[in-house]
Amino acid sequence: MSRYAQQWLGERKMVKVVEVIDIKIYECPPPSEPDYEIVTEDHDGNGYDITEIIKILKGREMNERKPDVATNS
Amino acid sequence: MPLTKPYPVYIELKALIEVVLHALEGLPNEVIGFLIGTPYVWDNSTYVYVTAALRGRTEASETHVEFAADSLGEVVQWLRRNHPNAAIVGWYHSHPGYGCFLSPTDLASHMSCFTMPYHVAMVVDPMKGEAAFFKVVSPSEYEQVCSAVVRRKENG
Repeated sequence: MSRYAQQWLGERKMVKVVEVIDIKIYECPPPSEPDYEIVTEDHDGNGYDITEIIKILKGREMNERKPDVATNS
Repeated sequence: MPLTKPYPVYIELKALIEVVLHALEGLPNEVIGFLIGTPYVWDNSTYVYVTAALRGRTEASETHVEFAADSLGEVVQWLRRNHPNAAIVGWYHSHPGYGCFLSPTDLASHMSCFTMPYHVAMVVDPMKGEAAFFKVVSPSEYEQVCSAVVRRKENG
């Protein structure tokens, strides 16, 4: 049996996420040292500055687009 | 073991990167997708641990995005195959150039589509370089929530 059923909502055509099987919520401490590295925290609920991630991803994209000089010569 | 109450949201760095990458690749249009993970409770507080982001197949413009008609069937197949013990813990979408907030349409969509108390909404603006998590309180009210980006250590 599928965990989710699908319903469609008028003009917006969003899917409604319907839990067909109850998801059990277990007790578990949140991710923390030493098993996890806390990369960054949004203590105040102000959101994240993701410009560094964007720079890295754009840099990777540029590198992937660079022609391979060795094979193109 | 942490002594303080958990944040409402923890997201794996790789999931955050996937969301940002999706938002960048979708420019100038909006993109939308599901947040995959597990809800937990700790110290009488519920939180979600987002471990993956799943792109929704969409019909999109610069100011509007919606899931394609049969996208949830694909999501269920993908979940069964790749994350059999995971759940949909929320959704994300992008606001290219106009900041992180929930519009009245976003609020209505969340209220009607993501009905579990642990469901969260994430908005990313790939042009301003911002991302934020939200919980919806009522049809006209939402709050931006605290969160943490984490990375599971390979030997952990």
